[in-house]
Amino acid sequence: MGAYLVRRVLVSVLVLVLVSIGIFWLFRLAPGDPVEMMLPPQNRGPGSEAFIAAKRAELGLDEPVWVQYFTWLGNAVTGDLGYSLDTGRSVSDLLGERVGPTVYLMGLSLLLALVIAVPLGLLAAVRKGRFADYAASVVSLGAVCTPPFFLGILGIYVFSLKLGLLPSAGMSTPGQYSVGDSLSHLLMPLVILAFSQSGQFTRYVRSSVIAELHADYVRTAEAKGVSATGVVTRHVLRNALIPVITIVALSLPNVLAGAVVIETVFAWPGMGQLAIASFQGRDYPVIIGFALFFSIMVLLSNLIADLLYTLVDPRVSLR
Amino acid sequence: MSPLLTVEDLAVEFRTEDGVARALDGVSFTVEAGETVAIVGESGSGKSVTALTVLGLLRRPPARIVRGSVRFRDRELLRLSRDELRKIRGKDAAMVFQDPMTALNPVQRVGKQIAEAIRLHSAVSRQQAMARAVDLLGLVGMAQPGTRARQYPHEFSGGMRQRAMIAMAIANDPALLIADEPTTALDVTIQAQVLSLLRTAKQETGAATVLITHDLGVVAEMAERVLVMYAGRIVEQADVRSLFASPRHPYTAGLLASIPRLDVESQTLTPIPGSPPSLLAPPPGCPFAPRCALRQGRAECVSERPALREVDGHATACHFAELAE
Repeated sequence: MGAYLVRRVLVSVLVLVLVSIGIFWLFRLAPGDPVEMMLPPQNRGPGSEAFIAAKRAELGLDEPVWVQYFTWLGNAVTGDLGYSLDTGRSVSDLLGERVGPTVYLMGLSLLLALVIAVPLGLLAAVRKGRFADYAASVVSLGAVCTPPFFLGILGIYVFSLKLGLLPSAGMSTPGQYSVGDSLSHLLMPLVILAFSQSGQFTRYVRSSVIAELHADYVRTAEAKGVSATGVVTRHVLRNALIPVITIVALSLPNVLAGAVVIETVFAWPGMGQLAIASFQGRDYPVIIGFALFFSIMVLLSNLIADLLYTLVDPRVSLR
Repeated sequence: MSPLLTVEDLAVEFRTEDGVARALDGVSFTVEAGETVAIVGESGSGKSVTALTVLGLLRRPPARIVRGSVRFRDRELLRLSRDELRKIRGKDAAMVFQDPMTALNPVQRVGKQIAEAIRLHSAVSRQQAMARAVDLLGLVGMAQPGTRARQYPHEFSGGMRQRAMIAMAIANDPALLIADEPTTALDVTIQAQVLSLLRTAKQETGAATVLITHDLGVVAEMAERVLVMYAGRIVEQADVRSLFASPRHPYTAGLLASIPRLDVESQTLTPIPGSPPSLLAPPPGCPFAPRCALRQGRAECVSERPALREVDGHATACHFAELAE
């Protein structure tokens, strides 16, 4: 187990290096550079060219890409991810203050999505081909098909604009910190994000439970005299959730992407907003910081999924 | 006293994509307390469906019980509610399944699975049930039962899993034990051990045993009485000696002739030609007629369905049983 973890961490470091090379190179292929973004063509006069060249030299952008990369990498291993070209603030500080709100929103919505999906998928499987199954299908397919931003705008229109029940932006009302206030800000983004994810999860839980209901051990349990409810709760559920762990881990990038959109709609002060601003401004150091964060989240979730496997399935051991 | 189990005129259908298959068509038999009855027949003859119907384990749909009666200890099982049936299953009537590799829950400790069977039918504490589970594992011949009880099924070999299944089945001292092909999935050397274990289990509990198998060697070793099934019907019924010595149905005769023998010099096996009829559209007469060596073109065989009748102490469903040997 210890050796396994060491190996996983080493592989993860390699993946992170490859990701950083890819992102570095790809974004420099994109048209426009940060200095040109600072000085739009209509504002340029004589001397602008010289200014741009000087600024490029100052930021090191005139050097070959691979030299820039190794400079960045050399700093990165010491923990220095550089400074935002836009605001001049340290990238790790920028990301650091944004990570909290995003992880908070994502984590809770993932949890809520499972709280919705597991019972709903279970119900649909047990009542396969009957009304509850079709109703669950309609709900879950609706969740898969409706883009979260649409639900966000709809939610703001109904609950903020028309009914005036919920705030439409931010994590809290400035100057008024209370649990109720935080919760009312959290409610809409959380529910919408969770609902979007729950559709896919419900479908997987349903098919996984249906498959397990046909397993031989189910008949053994019935032959022992276990009730229909007991068969599902004591035998089927745990077996059925094993593949769902993988699905949840694999869906994490989706959740993050969904969170970026929802954060923008609800002005949630998380990574998503920062990412979009930095993409538009070609703020290279922030983009790479964001990509690394994204990669670490994905690697971490896969590792957690593998560790969960060993907890849930006694047949799996990590070596 | 009436028999422990009486099955009468049982008929079961399965809805399939190609139509309705008649899996059982008028099956009747009895099992007396403490006796061992073997049900033999090839795949699809209705052996397992019979067992599953008796215990109420058929999945309905796709299965449907068309008619018949199953009386166990003078109670009609086909009319019991789910809950009443559940109190009998695993207590008075238990079952051992064919494939021990998949019949145990892979994510639950073996001891816990046995203890569950105990706790479902008697008010004992978790600890008492677990202690009894360990005793049972010892009883079925497992070394270090205490350690084994804490292990998961994947840590057991096939033979050990079948031992655990048998321990689970006899946990509540059943009066009836149905074993559906209990040795089919096992190595030959393990088969003998499991058969002798079933005999031990029977001695311990005094349970009547219904042994479902296609292996006539197992039948000869274990059974007192034999039911031969073909295409959803019982075609012959007799005590084991008389059945092996002088079969009174041409299908049984064919089965016996197809066993390879060491004492007769022969280069080839003697199969029964042809294959069983489709259960979707069974022929009107005797279902075995197209493959029958005895028929020799007699019209009766394809026009009229033979009923079970008594010939020389056998029950046989053949118009010309007197000519069979």
